[in-house]
Amino acid sequence: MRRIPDPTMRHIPEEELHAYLDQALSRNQCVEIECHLAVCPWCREERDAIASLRDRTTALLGLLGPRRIPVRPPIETLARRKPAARLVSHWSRRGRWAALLAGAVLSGYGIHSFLDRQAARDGLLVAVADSAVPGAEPLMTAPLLVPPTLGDSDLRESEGGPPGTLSTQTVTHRPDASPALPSRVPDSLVRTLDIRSVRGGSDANELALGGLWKTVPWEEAEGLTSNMLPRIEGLPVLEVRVQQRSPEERPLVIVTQQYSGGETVRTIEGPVEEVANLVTRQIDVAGAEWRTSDPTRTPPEYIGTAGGSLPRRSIRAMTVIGRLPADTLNALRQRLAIR
Amino acid sequence: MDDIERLYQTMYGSVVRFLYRKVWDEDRAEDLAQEVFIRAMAHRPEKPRAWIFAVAANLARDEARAAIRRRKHLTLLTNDPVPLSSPDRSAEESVERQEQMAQVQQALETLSPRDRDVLLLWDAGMSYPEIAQQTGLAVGAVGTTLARARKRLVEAHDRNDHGTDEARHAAHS
Repeated sequence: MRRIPDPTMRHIPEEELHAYLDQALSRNQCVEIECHLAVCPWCREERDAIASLRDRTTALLGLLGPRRIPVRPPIETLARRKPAARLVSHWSRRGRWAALLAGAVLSGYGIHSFLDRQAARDGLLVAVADSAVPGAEPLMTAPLLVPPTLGDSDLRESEGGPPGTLSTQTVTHRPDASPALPSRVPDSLVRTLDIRSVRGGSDANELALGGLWKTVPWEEAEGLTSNMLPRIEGLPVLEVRVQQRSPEERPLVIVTQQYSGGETVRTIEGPVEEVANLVTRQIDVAGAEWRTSDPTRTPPEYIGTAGGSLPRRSIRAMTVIGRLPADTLNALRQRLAIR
Repeated sequence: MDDIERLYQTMYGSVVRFLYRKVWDEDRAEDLAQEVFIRAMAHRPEKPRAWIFAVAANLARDEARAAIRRRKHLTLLTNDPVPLSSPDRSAEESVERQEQMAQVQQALETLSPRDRDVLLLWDAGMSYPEIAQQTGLAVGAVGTTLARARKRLVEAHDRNDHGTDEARHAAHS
């Protein structure tokens, strides 16, 4: 039961109490209000009622947020997207019904084929920085597991390039270390490819695959890839498919995982040409429009290293592909790991 | 790090939420929020906080007009199965949350556009002078408008909630 206000006293207007609780009054006004509250039980009750109304409003509005946490793209990406923003609006005007088939985050990293094969034979992981690109940061700085029989000097000899070519790689002797991708692949080395299908349809979520593919259990896939199986941390794995050209080479791998909304996210890892072909096939099959985050690149050059002095066959690439906004895929890319 | 970058890091979520409550589409809200910051980086406004919300409100208004023109397409879109609910929330909880959201959304829509704008700007963390600048109200009138908006929102919500409870009760008996 609310008190009846004392008619002989001047009371604080309701909107002023709102402003007081919202900290929108000057210090002097606050002091004046607090002096009055100290002697007026009616205004104190009114203040408590307004505080409760204010909390209630905040709680109700709190229910009206987006269901997923907004993913804030890096500001550099946003700055680069000035022209792209207009393009997105243009597409939006053309019709939002056009389904986003895939956004692919392409992350090239150099792994010298010889060392790679050597590693596969010896059960080692050898990661080599992309030293072919002047000034490039190492693309993969996973710890190297170097056995006594294959020291640092052997690595240089095996590489066959000019002395010091491997100087940017991280070499450590931590046999128990779990190899992983760097926590953040430099943005300059990541390219985003948006593909918008005008066809859509129930099979739009399926990848168009060529050649002979085999679905294998996780353990078998780990064996085939010398424990270099990529996956996005925190998402359940639905399927692993491999395509192997020869027993000596590490196969082309597709790891299918499920995103929280039920969408499938696929990580493709393999020789750069094969990954590029696979992604190009998606564009061809979907009859889609596409754009890349690097406007100087057109298919199939959106995958691969700049400079190109390193033989393309020696480079492996990794792609994350899903029917999700590119920003979401970019965020997922940051959780990529190789186990 | 300049002002815009700092605001981008601290306010991005608030701007998305503010826009979401106007366009009711998560993807669109994120697209628009990014557009707001892209424009802010190009314009470098003097008072970036107020500017960002003013542009966000304008973009949301344009979006609402466009949505009316595209009503047919939007109707088709609502039939698209694109749920993005959290996997660990049970289906029952998810349904309950959706019902709650719908009730609050309905309650919010009973407010006049000005009351709604003031309430959403306040909830986005704007000060009274910033709200006044954006809505054209006197600073002194912001408190009055907020007081009315809060009361009306809660009353409208309680009416809806009461109605839903009665309907549930009738369905069970």
